[in-house]
Amino acid sequence: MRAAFALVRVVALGAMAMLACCLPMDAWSQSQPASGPRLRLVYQTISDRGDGQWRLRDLPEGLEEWVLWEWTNDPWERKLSTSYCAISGDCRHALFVQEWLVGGYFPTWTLALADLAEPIHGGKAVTIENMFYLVDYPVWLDESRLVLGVADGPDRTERYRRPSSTS
Amino acid sequence: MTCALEKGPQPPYDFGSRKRAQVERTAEALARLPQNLVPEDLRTPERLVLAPDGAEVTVETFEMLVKSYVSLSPSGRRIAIADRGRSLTVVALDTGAQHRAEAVHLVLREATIIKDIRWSPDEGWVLFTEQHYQRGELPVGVAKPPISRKVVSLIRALEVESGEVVTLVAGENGFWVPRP
Repeated sequence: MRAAFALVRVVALGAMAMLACCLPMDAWSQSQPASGPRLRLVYQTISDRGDGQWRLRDLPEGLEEWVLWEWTNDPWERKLSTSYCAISGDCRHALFVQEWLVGGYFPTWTLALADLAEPIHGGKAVTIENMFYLVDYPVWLDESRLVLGVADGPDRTERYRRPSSTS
Repeated sequence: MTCALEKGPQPPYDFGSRKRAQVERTAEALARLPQNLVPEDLRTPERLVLAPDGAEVTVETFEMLVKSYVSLSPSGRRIAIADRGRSLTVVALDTGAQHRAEAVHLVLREATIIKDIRWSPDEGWVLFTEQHYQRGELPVGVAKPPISRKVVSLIRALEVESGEVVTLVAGENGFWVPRP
């Protein structure tokens, strides 16, 4: 009896595992119950081959979602995920730091800025600058200025100012 | 969208002292907890460092992926500890009250990492990412795992008062943004 119960349990777990493997990510996430915190969530999706997106999503309903920044991986310009994202204090902008390898070897860090206040479907973040040194600890000082740490020995900072005439 | 940033002269910003202050506050909070609540790899204050996004404190050696993470709430009254992928525990430092979220189990023979702990501004919720590496193999170093090791990442949230855990979306590295 115990062996039979164990067999049933293994079969059930196996079926659950197959379901989890086969279910598309979007279908899986849309099946979630409408509970939890009311917030907007900026998050990443990264495929097994390294393609990915930064997205903005309304929760818990999940009815609205925007792609803020996306990248496609290939062997020659391999792009990597980084966890470096800074949301401005007024919640109007997100800054992403995208690490990638040119020629599969030379590391580069790209800064991209996304508009969170009025996101547009199909509207993507804009590239600000490409850097050839590791950038981390992005911090918004106020609504228009941000500071980037540079992980190259002692901390250095780069300072930027967003023009007030942006549209 | 034509937003762009332009460089301009700004006053110096001392990252070093800010990072040290955050690590010291976290180490002091960990020292106030019962020893059994502090993961073994977080018990040496000299090894604690701030994660590169500034949200959480962890141990040195960023290449070691299976490690513990800890995040002090904005007011410093609560602390969230991810114990090497097994669970997330939130402790109120003044009362000692605890809430614990165990990692979910999606598939057989998987290995799990809990990371990206971020407090909501009101300290009512904690966001975190669970990464499940199928076939039970964790990546080595900073390299992404090969395709044969499928990764499923879930963003979950723990409500501090009730201890309720909800799975928000399939993804990773979630950041809070207040709804308009």
